[in-house]
Amino acid sequence: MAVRPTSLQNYLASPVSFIIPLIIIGSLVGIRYFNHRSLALQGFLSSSAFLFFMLAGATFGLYPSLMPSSTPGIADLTVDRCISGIHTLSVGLVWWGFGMLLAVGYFVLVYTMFRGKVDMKEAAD
Amino acid sequence: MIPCTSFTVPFFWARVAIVRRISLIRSIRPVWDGNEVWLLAAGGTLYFAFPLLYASAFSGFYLPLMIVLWLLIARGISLELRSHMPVGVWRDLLGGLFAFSSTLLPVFFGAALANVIRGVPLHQDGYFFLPLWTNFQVGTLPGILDWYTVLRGVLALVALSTHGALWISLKTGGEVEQRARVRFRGCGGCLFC
Repeated sequence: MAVRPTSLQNYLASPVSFIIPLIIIGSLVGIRYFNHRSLALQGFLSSSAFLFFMLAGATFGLYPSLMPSSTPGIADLTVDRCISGIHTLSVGLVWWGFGMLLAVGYFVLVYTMFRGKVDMKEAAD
Repeated sequence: MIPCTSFTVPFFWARVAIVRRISLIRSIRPVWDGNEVWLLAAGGTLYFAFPLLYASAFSGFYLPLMIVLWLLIARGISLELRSHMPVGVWRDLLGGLFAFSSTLLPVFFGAALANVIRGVPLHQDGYFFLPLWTNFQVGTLPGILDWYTVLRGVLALVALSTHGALWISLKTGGEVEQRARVRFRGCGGCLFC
């Protein structure tokens, strides 16, 4: 807040967004709790939620700025100023969607194939 | 968030016996290069959706971007070539390189995020330039690295180290898992502070 006081404005304008810092605090508590209980998967998911919502919270606080300006009198780079034209976005959505399908599919396949713990006996061999 | 583990699993590299190192490698080996696809996906999305931001950011942060690129290359090479020669010095060298590059990457990512949140000295055309460092003080002429951004980078390192420790607990067992839990107490304690 001291670095960018204006980041609070987005939260105040939409009070429901205060759920983001609440989730962050909850995930921190969850990390500690689940690790204490030796629940590795739940602890890992809590940590994932912590990282995701920290980034989401920073993004929400900055919105619509993408690159804030520290130069007096010079405007930030905002979503409106930086976004591509409608044709580019339409074409990009098609191949981006196809690419994301491949990436997500590969992601799920690999993590499913290699789920479970590492075989320590095989590692020792 | 799973990709983040690949950056900080090596943080636990030091003082670990060979078998334990092998189990650490095996926990990320099948997935680490696929996870780097997400970096490419983010860059590609930025390029087609927000080209001015892409041009401005990649120009203004050019030197740290090149450093990050070299760290990613070093990381990949060290992990893939480590097992190619059964020579102790070779493996120790590449293991150290892997740990070094994987530890610095979260620091640079955290520093970059801190610079974005703080703001950069944009010109009228939307471009900017920041030196890598000046005097490590915040003020009118900060560099990309100063005490504030480096501190944020260290926070990112601690957060991702905690994440890596939890990944190791999830994927390994026995002594390695116990060591990861001990390390978690250290990293996680810093995070909660």
